[in-house]
Amino acid sequence: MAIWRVSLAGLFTGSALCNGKPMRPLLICFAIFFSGCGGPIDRPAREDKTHIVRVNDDEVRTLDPHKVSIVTDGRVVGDLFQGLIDLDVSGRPIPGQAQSWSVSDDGLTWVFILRPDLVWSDATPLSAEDFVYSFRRLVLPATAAPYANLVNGWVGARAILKGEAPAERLGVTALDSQTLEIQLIRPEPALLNMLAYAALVPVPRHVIAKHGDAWSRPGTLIGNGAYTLSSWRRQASMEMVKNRRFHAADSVALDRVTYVPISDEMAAVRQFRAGEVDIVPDFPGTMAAVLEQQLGDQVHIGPYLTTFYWVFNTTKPPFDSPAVRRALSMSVDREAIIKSIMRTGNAPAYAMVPPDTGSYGPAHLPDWASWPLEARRTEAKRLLEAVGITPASRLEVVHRYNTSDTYQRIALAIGQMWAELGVDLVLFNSETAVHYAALRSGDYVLGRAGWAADYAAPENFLFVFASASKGLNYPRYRNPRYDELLDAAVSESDVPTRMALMRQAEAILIEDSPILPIFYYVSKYLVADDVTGWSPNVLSAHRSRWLGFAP
Amino acid sequence: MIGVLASRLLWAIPTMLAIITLAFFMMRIAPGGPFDGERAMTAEVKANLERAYKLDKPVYVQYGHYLAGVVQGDFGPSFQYRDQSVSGLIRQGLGPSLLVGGLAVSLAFVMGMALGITAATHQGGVVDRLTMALASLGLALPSFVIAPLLALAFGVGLRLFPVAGWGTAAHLALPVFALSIPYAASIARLTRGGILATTSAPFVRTARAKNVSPARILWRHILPQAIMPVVSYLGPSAAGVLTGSVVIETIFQIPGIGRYFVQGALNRDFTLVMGVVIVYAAMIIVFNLLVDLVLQRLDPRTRSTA
Amino acid sequence: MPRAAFWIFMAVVILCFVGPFLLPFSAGQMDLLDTYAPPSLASGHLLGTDALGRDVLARVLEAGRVSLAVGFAATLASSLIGVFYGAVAGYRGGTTDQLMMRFVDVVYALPFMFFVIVLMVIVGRQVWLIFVAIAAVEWLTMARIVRGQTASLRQMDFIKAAHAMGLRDGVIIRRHIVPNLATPVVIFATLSVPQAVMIESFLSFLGLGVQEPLSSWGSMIQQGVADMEFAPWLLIAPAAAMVVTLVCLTVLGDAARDRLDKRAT
Repeated sequence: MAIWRVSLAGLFTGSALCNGKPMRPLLICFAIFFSGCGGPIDRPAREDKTHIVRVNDDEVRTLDPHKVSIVTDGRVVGDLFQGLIDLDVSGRPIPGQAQSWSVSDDGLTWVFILRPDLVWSDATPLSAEDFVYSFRRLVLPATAAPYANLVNGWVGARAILKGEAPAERLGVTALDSQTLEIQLIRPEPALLNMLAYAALVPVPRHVIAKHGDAWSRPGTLIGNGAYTLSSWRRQASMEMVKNRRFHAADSVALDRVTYVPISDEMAAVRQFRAGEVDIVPDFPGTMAAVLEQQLGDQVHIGPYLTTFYWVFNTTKPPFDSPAVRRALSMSVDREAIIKSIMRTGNAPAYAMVPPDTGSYGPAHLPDWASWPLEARRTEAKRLLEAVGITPASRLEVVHRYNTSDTYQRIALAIGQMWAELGVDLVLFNSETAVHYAALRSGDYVLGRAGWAADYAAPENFLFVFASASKGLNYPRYRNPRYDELLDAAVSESDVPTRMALMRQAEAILIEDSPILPIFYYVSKYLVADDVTGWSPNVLSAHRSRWLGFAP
Repeated sequence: MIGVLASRLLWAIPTMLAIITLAFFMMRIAPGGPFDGERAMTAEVKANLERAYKLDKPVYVQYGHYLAGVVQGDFGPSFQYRDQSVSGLIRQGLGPSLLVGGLAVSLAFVMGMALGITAATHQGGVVDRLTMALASLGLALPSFVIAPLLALAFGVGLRLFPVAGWGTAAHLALPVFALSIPYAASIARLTRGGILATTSAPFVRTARAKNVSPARILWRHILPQAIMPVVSYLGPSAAGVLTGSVVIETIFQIPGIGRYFVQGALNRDFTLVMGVVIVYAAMIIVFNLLVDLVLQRLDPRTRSTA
Repeated sequence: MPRAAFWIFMAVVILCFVGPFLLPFSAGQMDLLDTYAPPSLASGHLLGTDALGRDVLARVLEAGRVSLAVGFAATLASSLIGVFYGAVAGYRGGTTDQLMMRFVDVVYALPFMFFVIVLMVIVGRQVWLIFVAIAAVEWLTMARIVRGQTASLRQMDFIKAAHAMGLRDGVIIRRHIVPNLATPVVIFATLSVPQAVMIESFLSFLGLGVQEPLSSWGSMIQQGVADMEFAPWLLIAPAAAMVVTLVCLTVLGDAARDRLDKRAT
């Protein structure tokens, strides 16, 4: 590799000097030589071991936990606030502000005991009443919280969200200043996982009373997490310092955390290599091999609970036929896409729920998943011919996706796979807002979508395709049997039965094929090798309170 | 001159109004709204949000509200950056954009003039050819190619400057240089062309006949004329550079307003985009005015009558 | 030098439009088993393959068609619009002129990006829209230049004579003014083509340039930057093609200016 780089560089330098245009080729030579001649890079280590610099994939939009809707914001909120439950290094729920809890036999009533002497970072005491206030604010229509529907299973939540009941009707009660009771309309074994989510942390009543919606700005923001916000230079950096009043402050190793928003992935990678940042939450998959050579085990690639899938609009022919949809799904060579385009060892997806989502176990596989590709293609051809789609009489399909080189490549590759069956894919891309608006309004026949778990439970994936899920059920899938099984599953408190019911539901879903799952995501991190407390986890939740530097 | 100033400023008002109106309605025609994200919201939540941001009112009512706000200096709240006002965002971002842009324009001016003068004074020779080749190269390579290469070479490879970010003077080096390259190239070409065109003018021949030294001829007689196309070019370009370059700000992570604009348009953050449009338009108007004033000063034909 | 530039440019044009027919691989032929292959004589991929295993040489040539078409078509459109707009404004003078030029000022002050992005979004990402968007910006400067020229031409005797003879305005503009605008128009047009190509590459950076299955040098370069550390040929090939072409065009434009201006003065 090095030899051809040298000769290429030499060739260019030579030809360049001959026609008097030395600048660009020389620059490229510099890049080739100095950026990484394939060998390991010596990254300068951080001198101040109490300060870590983490990259965030974009500028934070809001720090009000109830208004958070993207991972970018959730990441920071996880450091500034702590809910009843927190997540450990592996993403598992552990006691947060609550020290213990119990659940009734029918699974409908949960009681949480808060730790004694909890305070906000400004020393104001934090009690169960604060939690009651916070949950009520979450479901208040005026708050317009994007994740308010997380608590749909709590007593009264649905009615309040529709504006049909006052917030006081929510099934949360402060039994005393340290005891909180939550009442559900159906059992929620994953409630603990849910409570660790950003939208369910407490918000400071006393600050909101004084400042209204402006409370979450720097200067007035008060939290109860391991860190407090000390400064926020928009688009440049967000500084946090250790919250001395945090109940577990002794276990927090780092004094300062800086978040830098870097939207250009390669810029973040360059900064990591130059030692300017310590953690990078994403990088282009195609760079994986190079980065592994240069940075060794500072590259962390691991499973992530997110599914990449295409959706068929089941109301538009010929996609109203399950056989057609199944044929198209069968004929996609997922392994080739993963190997050639994704290049990060993702697991192929034949179903919606990723493997090991909560207690779900391995991902569902339709029977044809084990057939060799040729057999699948033959069967697909047969199914398509039955409805009159052949290489001679072709079908043109417009595929919508949101702008991304990767999504485009996947579409082109699948387009080639389908071309031999007589299906011609026409690509149509638009930016995210427009794309999802179109999917939601049904203005598409075939589209790309992705679903990331809010918390590790299979129902979080499966409810998307329930008939009642209007905004998210892009395929407009309606199967009463599916709905029945799903309803039965979420009302079931016995975990193995619950899982079995969900598996049955998913089997029906995949048989009907309103979606075309392609692969499960991986999380891609670059983590400086002297960072301690890092553990890969499927939720990609890495709270700064667990991190430190090796001396 | 006062007359020109006054009439231009008077024209500025309907111009700005036209721009604001055009931009406002164009944004509204575009499909998709600020709350259509990847993460779908339930219908109720979306309705609540739209009500909070007054998006449920008819468009002309929103327009009226917006204009009333602008006149008072309130550009409204940002739709994607909740709890932030557009004027606050712009105020914070304008500084870095102006700094990087201002330094880039100055550097481009100096580099461009130097290259252009060198080329013109050695017209036809190797130096002339090489300089102009470099200039064409600077114009032919997109900045989103040059910038990462510079970052890789000087930041990661040679470790001379920080790769990205903001805070110290060193952080300015790469972005300013990368940003200045295409402008320096244009200025070099314009300067060379301007000098060569002026060199054959009658008043220069007169000066030569009077045995004025070549250096003095260049600096006092030729350059003021030759700079005129450079100044006309710089006017609108400066406005563009100063409002931040999307490419440079993205690649070097400068907290400026350049990115607000593209991100805002793509995310349908109506108010943020409008705010940046207004700032940009105001700058262009101001710079065009400045350019015209400078040109009047430079042009000896108008100087005596002024 | 201009002669060399001319021949190189013609070679590029011929290669782009004829070349793909002579190559063993087609630009759209994907091979997922042979992605990111470096250039090699043995495999037949003289410039390597890209992320989907497509032959880079074939892609660069086909992309050249698009880039050249965009550059020339946009410039042609903007020139036509700019010339007639500027000629009418300069010739009419008075309030018509004032109003027309104020309109130009207003559009000038609109950030180009904003206009293009919103336009792309309203209409969708179509190739012809890119022509329109670029033309919509370039006509402004052309209009200004032409208006200036026309205004000074208007004072000339031969125009006054034509007017006195009773010729209608439209005829005067078409027959007498426009031909005399040739010099500045040609010069500006030749130098506009590179600008148009660069604007298209900038649009590609934003994701708004030509969409697959079409590709332009700009979109290839934008993708090449992302992969340049391990597949530099993906960047070098289209970048070199674009640089060579644009430099040739600029040299030709300069030569045209030197030649035509000498005649004018």
